[in-house]
Amino acid sequence: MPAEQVARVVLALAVAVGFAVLGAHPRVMRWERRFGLTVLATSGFPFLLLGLLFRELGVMTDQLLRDLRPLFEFGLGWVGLAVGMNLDIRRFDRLPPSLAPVMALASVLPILSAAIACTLTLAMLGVIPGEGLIRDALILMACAAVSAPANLDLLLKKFRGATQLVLEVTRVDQLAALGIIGFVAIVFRPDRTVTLWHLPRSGWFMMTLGLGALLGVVLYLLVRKVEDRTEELAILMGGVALASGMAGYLALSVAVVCALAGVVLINFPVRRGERIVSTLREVERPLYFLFLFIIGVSWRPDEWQGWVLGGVFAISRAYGKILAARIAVWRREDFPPWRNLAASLMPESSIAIVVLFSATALEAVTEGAVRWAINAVIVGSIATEIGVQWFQRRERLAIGAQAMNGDPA
Amino acid sequence: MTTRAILTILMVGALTYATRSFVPKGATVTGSGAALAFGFLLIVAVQSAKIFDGLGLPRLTAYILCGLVFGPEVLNVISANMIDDLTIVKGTAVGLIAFLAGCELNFRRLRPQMKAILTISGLTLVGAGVLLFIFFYGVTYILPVTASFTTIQRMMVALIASNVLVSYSPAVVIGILSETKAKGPLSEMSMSVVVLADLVIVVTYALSSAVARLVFPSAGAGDGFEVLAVHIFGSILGGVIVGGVLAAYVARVGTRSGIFTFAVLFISAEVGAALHLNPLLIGLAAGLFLENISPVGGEKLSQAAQSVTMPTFAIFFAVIGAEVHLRAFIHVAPFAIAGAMLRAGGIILGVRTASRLLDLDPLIRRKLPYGLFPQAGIAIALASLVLADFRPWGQVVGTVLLGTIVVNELVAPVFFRTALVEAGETNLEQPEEAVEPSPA
Repeated sequence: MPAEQVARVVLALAVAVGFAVLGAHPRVMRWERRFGLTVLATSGFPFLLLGLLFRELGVMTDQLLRDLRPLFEFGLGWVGLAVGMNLDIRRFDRLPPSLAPVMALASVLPILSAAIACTLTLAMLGVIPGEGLIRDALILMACAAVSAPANLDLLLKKFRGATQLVLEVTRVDQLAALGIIGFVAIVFRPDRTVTLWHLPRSGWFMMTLGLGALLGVVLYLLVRKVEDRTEELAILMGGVALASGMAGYLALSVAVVCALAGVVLINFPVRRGERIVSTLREVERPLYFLFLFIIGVSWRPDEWQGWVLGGVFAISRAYGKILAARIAVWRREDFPPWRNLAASLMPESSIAIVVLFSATALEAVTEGAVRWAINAVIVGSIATEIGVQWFQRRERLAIGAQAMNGDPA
Repeated sequence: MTTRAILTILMVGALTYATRSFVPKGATVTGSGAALAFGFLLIVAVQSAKIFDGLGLPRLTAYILCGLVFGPEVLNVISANMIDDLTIVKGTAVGLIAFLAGCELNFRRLRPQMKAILTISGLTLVGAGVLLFIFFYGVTYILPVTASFTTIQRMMVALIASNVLVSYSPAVVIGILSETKAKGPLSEMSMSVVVLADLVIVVTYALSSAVARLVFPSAGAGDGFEVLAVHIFGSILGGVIVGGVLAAYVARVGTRSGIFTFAVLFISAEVGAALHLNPLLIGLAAGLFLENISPVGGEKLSQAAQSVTMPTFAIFFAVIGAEVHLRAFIHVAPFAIAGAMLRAGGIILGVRTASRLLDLDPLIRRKLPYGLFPQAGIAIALASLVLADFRPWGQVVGTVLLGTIVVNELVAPVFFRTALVEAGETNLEQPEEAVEPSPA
């Protein structure tokens, strides 16, 4: 390696380690929690910029990306399993039945509004059906689906029912997004796949479901009688890697197969399920940083189309959330004002990073429309974050003014 | 427990085998192949360790054997390409193992024993080295490829071969100490001697291979001694920087230290590969820096890294096992076994001489040689260099060297574990964490 390249690598890695230290700092994490900020908008953003910088400096070589590929697959599997383990059916059973249609609307409306608006925008930007329009629109739909709760203590104070709704909707949203990505992986299977099996799409759909369920059972058998936490971690790592490898061999979506395995695992009578979830969460954050970094390598902020698409994406997604909140408030009298409910559901979840990564980086798709989609999600996410923070600030001021006036509300 | 472990191995083995049948024979899927191999080896290694626990045998041997059995040379569930893709995991594992060793070596605490450590290291290296030199000198008359060599050339072959085979294995020693939670004079002395001696061996190999290149001009150009020296000192400097970063992290952040340590060692292994730096030296220097210079101390980080230690050991030794060239070993088995026995004899002789000179504790005198028998990482790396750099004779002699390493790799951990148990330094009964009652 030439001396100049060595210096770049060392410098770049020093910056990466510095950001990782900052990103993991308890103060940063406290700050994120306090203000209801997402990873993408705060500690993760420097990683995005770093990926961009590394590309410009020529640090990210093909060899390096190839070396890291097993880690990417493992990371997708890990996050997928964590998402799947959110879907504990027993918890859903305990929810009031009247909440179900509200939750479904809150999940579906943003997806639909973003799908319509972004498809039209992509078509106007020259992307034509049959050459990626549907796939790119689906990727954006999946990114539009996921949401992270904002500062619920501030926005939904005294509205326990709504708080529960927001938390459950964010969980369902994540699975909806992975469902869309699973669909993309089946319908747009890469041509380069060397798999010996030739199945119709419905066959691959059944394979995805079957493999996910099978791996869930295998994971259950493996973790059922683990002796200590170290062994549990080893088994989880092994199980996720095995599941990722198997899904990868069949060119199925790694995150989706592992999410299905997670759903099966959490719904079995597994002991210490909470502990497994906490172990998965422990490793999640560094994985998001890694994904953001790799997405940053493909990010092209100099393409105006991405900014246009980003604006459309943010507005249409917000419109869908607002519409869902208004319908929810209309149907349930015990809910807070629709503005608060909409703002609570508005922030973009970190799973959008996984969706983007799963759909782009692993397939090495870097054509124009996909790059615009990356820009759209980044721009949309930051714009949404700014909007939510502005709204939360206004709420905080309003509560402060009420307290000064002696109003108990 | 054993039945469950066997059934799990069979189930995971069948799944992996079925997965490999999805693609044409010999093909692999970049990324997925490595992930599949990683997952399979990790699960199977952990289950095999349970079976070996029941038999009172070291887990390390279980890891190595499961790599050997499921690897390309026997059942071929894990192909050679998949093993190649795991190289990056191996580099990180070597770094982590060395880092843990460095964190355990406190020079202030070891100062009273430093004379003993240096004397034992020197005498065992000389003892085993001399016997192996004579053996390989004799072997050059038997092997067709070296039969026509001049005396100087024979001496060079013997020098290179003995230099490789006198190396120890910090990885195996630390692995056994970690799994048995052993603490005591034997554990400490074994680790100190193997780490110190292997540092010497890396340098002496660089010197002897540079001299051998003068005698065999047809050998590959390789790296000159100056370049190797730069790499050695560069690795140590890199390790100090890594240690500094880790110390700063613990002081300023403190959370997720285990994952952070693993990530930093992963990055240093990746950069180190590009810069020809040795991950073992980087990890060792980082650990030594933390334990001996930084106010943070090594124990805090080595405790934090405990959660990733078991999976790292399992995968590292399973990969080592999968890389064993069993077919080649069968061809050179008599030489390999003779080499292993002579090496063991040299080590015993060295420890006994040191014992007489220093009036060592009888326990150390009797049991220490078992801690010096194991071989793995460094020895394999050096033998691979002989295979690659000194063609055509290097391929034949390198195979003999690898054969001897295989013997030591498989058998020696069993002896070392037994020695630790007999010395009363193990803590096998203490579980890492009691199983919590179900939160239901």
